[in-house]
Amino acid sequence: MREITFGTAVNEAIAEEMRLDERVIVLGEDVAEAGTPFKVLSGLVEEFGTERIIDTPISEPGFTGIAVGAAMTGLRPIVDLMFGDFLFLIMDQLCNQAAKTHYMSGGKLNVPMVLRTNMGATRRSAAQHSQSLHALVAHIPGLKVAMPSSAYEAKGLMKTAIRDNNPVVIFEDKLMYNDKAGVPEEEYLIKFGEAEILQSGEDITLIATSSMVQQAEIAAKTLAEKKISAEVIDPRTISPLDETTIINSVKKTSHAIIIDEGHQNFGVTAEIAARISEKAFYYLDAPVQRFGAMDVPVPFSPALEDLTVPTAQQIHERAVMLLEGKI
Amino acid sequence: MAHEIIMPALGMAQETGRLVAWLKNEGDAISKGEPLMEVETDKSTMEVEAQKDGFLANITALANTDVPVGEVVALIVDNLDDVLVKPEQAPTAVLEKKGNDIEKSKGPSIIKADANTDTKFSASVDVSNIPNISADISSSNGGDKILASPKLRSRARSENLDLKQLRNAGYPEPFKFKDLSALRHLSTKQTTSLRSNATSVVDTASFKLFLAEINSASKTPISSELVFVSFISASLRVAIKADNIGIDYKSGRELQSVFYEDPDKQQLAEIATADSKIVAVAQVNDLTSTDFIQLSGQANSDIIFTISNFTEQFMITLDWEPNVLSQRAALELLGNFSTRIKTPLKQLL
Repeated sequence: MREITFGTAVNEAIAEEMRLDERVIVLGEDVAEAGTPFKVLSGLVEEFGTERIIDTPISEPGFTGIAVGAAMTGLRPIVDLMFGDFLFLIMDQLCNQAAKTHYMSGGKLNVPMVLRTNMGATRRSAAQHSQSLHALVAHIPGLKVAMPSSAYEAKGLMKTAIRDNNPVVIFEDKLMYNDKAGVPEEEYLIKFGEAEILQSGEDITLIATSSMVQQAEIAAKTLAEKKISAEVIDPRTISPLDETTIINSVKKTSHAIIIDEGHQNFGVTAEIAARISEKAFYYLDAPVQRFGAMDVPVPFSPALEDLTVPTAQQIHERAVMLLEGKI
Repeated sequence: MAHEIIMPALGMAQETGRLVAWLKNEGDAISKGEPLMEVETDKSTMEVEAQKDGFLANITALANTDVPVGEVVALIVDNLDDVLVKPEQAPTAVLEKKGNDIEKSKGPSIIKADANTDTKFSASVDVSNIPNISADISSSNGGDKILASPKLRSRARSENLDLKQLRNAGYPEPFKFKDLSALRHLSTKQTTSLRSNATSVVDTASFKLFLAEINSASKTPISSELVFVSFISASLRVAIKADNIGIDYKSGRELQSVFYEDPDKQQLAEIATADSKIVAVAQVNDLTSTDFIQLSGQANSDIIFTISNFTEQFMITLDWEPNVLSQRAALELLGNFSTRIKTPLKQLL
């Protein structure tokens, strides 16, 4: 199978869907000629023109509001939010309008909108351009949240998101845009709410999202050298969340660590840990471990910034401690 | 007399006021109307003035802390000798004296006091999340509550196993699922714990002679059963603590049960059987009318005597539950009974 980068996979997904459905448009800052700061959308404006790939003024609430209206009236917009941190600027458009319109109109209106944005630290971008805010969005009923962990998932989830009649927010980790993975030439979709078991194991379940999946996979390899068999689960979408796969796995292994790059407090790790405690309590042989990003604003200092994000080695150490009964 | 300086209520619904800064140091001479401290509330900051002349003493609230309205934050005393330094207040006062600079005074009290300072923030920047997670395991050990994983707990419950056995056996807590086999092992050991037994052999001659003699003197026949049960009862009374000695006496090929209560307290000729509802502290298997010499299984009682004929001797076996009777006590019990059979005449005296 050919290998392409995460960024190319996103680009392909959008291009394919734009060819299939002329209602699909892209709007945001620097999406046309610039192709976004990460060059993910390069080439789209040449094929689809500025009518469908729309550079907007620097006003996130403005273009998100336009997109919500456009979605309600028949288009299928893809909003490009340059940094996930800017979510705070569009909370009303996203959470009060897009998320609730279908419900409040008694089902008469839909908001088939995709908001693609990014997350993730360790790019030396400082506290206002390094956050992972997916938990905030997942908290709101009416929004779906996808977190691809590879080029393959990036493409499949993006295509599913564009075809979904509800608002979907896709978080892409900035660090993964150049990571390559096998992506088939032929079309495929990835269903929302279906976790993937990337590696099956018997002793401990590692549930990881986005770029933390890679760290969990590395940890699983080093754990295997110590004869510890780890199961790695990637939920792929946190809303809807494939609870069944997670619960079944923990029932089997009796140990769980959840790794996510959002802040640990009140985050995705907390939600998943709570569900495990509720539904697999009597199968647990050790406390469920949460492993989120440190609860501090992301430091600019490279030395400090790297300390705030979970690493494979830390996951490995935590797993060993857990299985040895030291936690 | 000392005059109390309190945190004033400056707003309608104000519960606390922020002490922004002290404008005087402890020990400073102050005169009435002089500003003492700066207080911030909602959106304004104001100075609190001295109500009388004296010296500032006993500062109990640090700069940059929220203080409940009405709380005493310092005193104005007439002369410095009146200063009452309470031991626990002394350190904060000293810190304050060094100035309001938070960098200088990184005491934990300051960090706790002010959520907005950088000190608090940097204090929470751990290099790793790991070190603080295992803390409560070590500290909570040794309490009454047994620490065990939910998985082990639920399995132990369904198998009717008692986690206490792991603790008693010295396994480290928290117990995990891997401890299940140890727990199973421990409890099998306890429930089917091997009953102990001991056997003595006693010549029948003197017993038979005794039986013949008392029968010739008695109007009603006295069976060997009555003598046995009476002697056993007397021996048990020495060995165990029980108000009443109830005995489940089985004899014959069918091992038919009859019950006796305190037979040793009755005349041999008058010993009557008791209600089967009595609590039997011991069971007797009297095999003397059969060819059998041993019988095991069917342990309904913690103490079991089995009496059988073996050539011209009685073979007396005592089975006992080690939890109920120590080996020493059991051997004494068996010895006591054997002696009575060996020298029955003595027992009548």
